[in-house]
Amino acid sequence: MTPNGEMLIVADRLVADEFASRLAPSSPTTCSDPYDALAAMRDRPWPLIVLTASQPDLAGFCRAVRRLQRDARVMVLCAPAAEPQVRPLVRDTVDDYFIYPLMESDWRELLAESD
Amino acid sequence: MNGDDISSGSSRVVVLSRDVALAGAVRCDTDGAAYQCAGTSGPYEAAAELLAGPVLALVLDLRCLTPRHLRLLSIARENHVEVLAVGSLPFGITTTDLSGVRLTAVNDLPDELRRLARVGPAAARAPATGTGPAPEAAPEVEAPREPLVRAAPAGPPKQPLQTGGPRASGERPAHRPTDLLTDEELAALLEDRT
Repeated sequence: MTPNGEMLIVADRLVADEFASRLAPSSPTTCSDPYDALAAMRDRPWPLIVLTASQPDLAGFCRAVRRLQRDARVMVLCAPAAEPQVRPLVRDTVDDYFIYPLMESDWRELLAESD
Repeated sequence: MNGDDISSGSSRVVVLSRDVALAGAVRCDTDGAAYQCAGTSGPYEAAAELLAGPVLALVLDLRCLTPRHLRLLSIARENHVEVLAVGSLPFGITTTDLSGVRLTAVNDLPDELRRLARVGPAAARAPATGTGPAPEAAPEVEAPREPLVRAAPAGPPKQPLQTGGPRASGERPAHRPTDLLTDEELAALLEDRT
């Protein structure tokens, strides 16, 4: 079982706070800046990485993530309008994606990834 | 990643460009095995390559650089990676942002990279702080470097501040306009204080 502290979240403050409240008392590592996230990925392996599709050059960022974290489960949160942009990344660099805001069933499924 | 799948090593050259011609110009020398290329098409991928292991140099097509991605240059500096830039200054980026980056002509890239491969990565060339043996001298004189950001041209040499103290020659120089105080003025001031 992977503690939730082993989860790296690359998202803005709003999403990060939502994860923090869901995962309390565990505190996931969060980065709002993609370059900070890449630096964190250099330092250690992460079993689960969750990132939002609001990153510019999402495909390039996902390739960068996969370059540094070959074995991680990589999940993307995206708005419905961004789904066509995210779907082609699945199984290439991303393991799966969720439409954001998440429903209760999505939360359960996502948090199950960290177990 | 769209680049070559290469192993980590200090002879790696990361190329950030969407221009096939530029990537080809850099790779034209890989037959000689002086260095290996990792091609990337975006700044995040280039940053990941820099973070993934030792890198000899980053060849940067300036068209790929935006103000949002200046952090890439910070990562290169932190990892002592030589950055060779090609192109012109992108909109929204100043010469100060590109401090330490060297502007290079595309045709000169292979020679420049071969030279870097001979002398080794910048991290290895950095002066040692320990007490180990001194590094060997470079086998040949390096070509003059051309930093993208040049220091302001030096003005006329400044006159040293005159103190009015005794001089080795014992001679009293003539008063010059650049002197702050003559010996007499300084002595008068000191007398006033006592």
